Amino acid sequence: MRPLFGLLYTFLFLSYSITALFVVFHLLRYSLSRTSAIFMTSLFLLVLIVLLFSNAIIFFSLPLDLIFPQSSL
Amino acid sequence: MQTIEHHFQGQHENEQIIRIIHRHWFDILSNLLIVFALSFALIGSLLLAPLFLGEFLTPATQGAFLFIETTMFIFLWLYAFLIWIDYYFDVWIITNERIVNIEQKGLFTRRTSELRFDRVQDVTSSVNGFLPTILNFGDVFVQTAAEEERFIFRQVPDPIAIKDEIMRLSRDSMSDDMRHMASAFHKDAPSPNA
Repeated sequence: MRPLFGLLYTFLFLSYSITALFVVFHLLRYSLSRTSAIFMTSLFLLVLIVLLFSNAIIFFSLPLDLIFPQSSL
Repeated sequence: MQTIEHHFQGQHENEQIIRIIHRHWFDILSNLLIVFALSFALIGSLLLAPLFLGEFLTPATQGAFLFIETTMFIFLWLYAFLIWIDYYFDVWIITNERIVNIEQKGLFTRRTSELRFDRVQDVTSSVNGFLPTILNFGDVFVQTAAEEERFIFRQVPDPIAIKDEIMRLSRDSMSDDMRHMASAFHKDAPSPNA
């Protein structure tokens, strides 16, 4: 079961990361001033990294066998 | 003339930015309301879940609950920035030469158009509704000389001041043109003493 959830989580994680890359690209490429570009990108990445990190830690500590005991996945 | 220390793609060498206009803050606030509401709901559920679901929360379900909460927070954070990009990069730039409109729709549509002041024929501002009147925001329509579409500043703060600024710059541009024409005429015209 864990490999399947791992695969699904990898897909989810990649989706977050690709969206975040596009957001950062826009913030850095199209900002009218360098200061606001740096400020917005730093704020966005700081919060996102904290959220992604805690999300990954919680996922890998989930007792999936206990949550889905009868699943044959 | 007051200038701003910003730079945009396609800016000419001696072109000075006079004013950068974003939509009124009320516009982004109304778009972000759903994000705020969901954030409060998530934080509320995080705080209240142990009180109401205490007996159902095992370490396993607690972990799953936290995982869902953080996943929702990531989605909200990304969504909030997508709204921000749509707002912040949808911009009208008034320079000493022209008006530049950069229209951002989502992440993958970006349209840039420009209008020189000598093409401006008429400028109209419009404030419609209770909240726009109280908060002083509305639309500014710039009619051009050709049969082109009108240039529209949508939901911008202080539309009357923007209209006045465009009219002033348009008048300045016309008087500059008249001066150039007059000097060219005097240069070409035969001297009365000749």
